[in-house]
Amino acid sequence: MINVEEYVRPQNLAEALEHLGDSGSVAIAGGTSLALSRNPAWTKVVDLSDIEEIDGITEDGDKLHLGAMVTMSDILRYPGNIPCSIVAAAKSVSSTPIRNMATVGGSMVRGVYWSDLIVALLALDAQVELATADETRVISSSELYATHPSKVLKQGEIITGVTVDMFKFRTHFIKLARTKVDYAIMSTCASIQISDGSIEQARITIGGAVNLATRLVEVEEMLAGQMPDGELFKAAGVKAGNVASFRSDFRVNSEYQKSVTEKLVARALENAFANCRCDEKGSAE
Amino acid sequence: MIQITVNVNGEDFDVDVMPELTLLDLLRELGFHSVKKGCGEGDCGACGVILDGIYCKSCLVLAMQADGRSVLTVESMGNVDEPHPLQKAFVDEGAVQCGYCIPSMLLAADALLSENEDPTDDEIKEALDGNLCRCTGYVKQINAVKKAAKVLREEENDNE
Ligand SMILES: Cc1cc2nc3c(=O)[nH]c(=O)nc-3n(C[C@H](O)[C@H](O)[C@H](O)COP(=O)(O)OP(=O)(O)OC[C@H]3O[C@@H](n4cnc5c(N)ncnc54)[C@H](O)[C@@H]3O)c2cc1C
Ligand code: FES
Ligand code: FES
Repeated sequence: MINVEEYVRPQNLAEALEHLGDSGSVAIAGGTSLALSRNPAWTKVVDLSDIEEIDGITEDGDKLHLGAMVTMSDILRYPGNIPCSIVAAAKSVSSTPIRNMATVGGSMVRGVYWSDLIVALLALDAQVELATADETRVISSSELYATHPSKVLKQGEIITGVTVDMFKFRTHFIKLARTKVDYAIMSTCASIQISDGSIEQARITIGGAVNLATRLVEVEEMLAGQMPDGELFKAAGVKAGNVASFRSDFRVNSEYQKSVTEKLVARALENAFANCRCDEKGSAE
Repeated sequence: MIQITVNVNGEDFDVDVMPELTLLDLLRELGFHSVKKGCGEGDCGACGVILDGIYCKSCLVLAMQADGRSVLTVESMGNVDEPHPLQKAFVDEGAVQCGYCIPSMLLAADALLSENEDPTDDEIKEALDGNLCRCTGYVKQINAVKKAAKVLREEENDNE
């Protein structure tokens, strides 16, 4: 923030996008990562916190829409239906004051390896709504995380919200961390769509133990069309351990990451199959 | 320099701030020394304040983000002569030792009780999960919050 000369807090989206078109502009949401940035490139800060159009949680039929400015605490307070993996992911983010501040949009764009929410959103095929002053577009979360989101967003472009299907998948999120408020050593989310007793399609994601949350497409393909059972889930876990590229860091080595991935992917699948539906609020482990 | 007006505990302050100044450092410069700087990066929770009704870590808020907003620090709750029931309960329960973590912890507890007048142990633990305390352990604060919640409920009943 060292070279910032101007701070603005627009009251509507059009005005914010206008400001963000200027070079040197940066959007601030919860601020939990940006506030301490010393990036010399920023000359104008555009605070998104008063823009109602990109805040709030709404339901439309079987779709759930999260505005970019929805905080983790907003998700936990929401009285309606939300896929339990999203609730569990929001609940597992750090501590109450951080959950009160960190937003959906900020978490998605920051794209850190420990991000919990991304792991859940990717496993639900979340559709991401983007806007610049000139155009709006919708891309899939897989596209947003094919590389780092900062490379996908255009100059002056922001996330305005995300949409997920509420009832399509049974889904379960698990985070492994040393304490409840610590960063994930490993996190995973399994979503399965069941029809006529077999798995029509699956989404398996992992985070924490990899550089950026990612889908494990090989595991998803192996599950598609199969009858769900413990043996299959176990085999899917083993496959997940084999195909993921682990990041190995100062806390845990890749051998450990691989072994917890095998166990937790299998467990997430079991739990998703056994119980997690949108109308049953989940909890983080 | 960026010109801002921030309301702290009911009083307006017009100040010019450097863009990288945090709300934490601004509050301390303004004399609100109850707001403590532990880590300066969101881990310890000593810097908690209520910003427009929301409990947050002031080391992760830029001073300019508080322009036109209102901040509450522990001074807004009570003082030695007239302590808030939470302040009294923390002292009575022995939940205070060095006191460094306490102003922020009291605000976290106050934020909880303003939404939930009879919290369970788990709800209290969750509300205080952003506050590290190096002295007392994490049991007495929970007792203190429960005790204060009871006092506040009784006060409310008496007023009805
Ligand atoms: C101590 C600590 C512990 C944490 N632990 C965890 C954890 O365990 N799990 C977890 O998931 N997260 C955790 N977080 C939060 C995470 O690291 C990020 O700080 C947070 O998700 C960022 O969200 P924000 O709303 O505060 O974004 P900001 O800090 O405001 O912004 C982050 C980035 O996103 C950009 N941005 C913000 N909103 C938009 C938008 N709508 N469109 C486009 N760009 C945007 C900003 O320009 C900036 O580059 C933790 C944070 C802290 C400080
Ligand atoms: S000073 Fe440690 S959390 Fe703010
Ligand atoms: S009383 Fe000393 S840090 Fe909590």
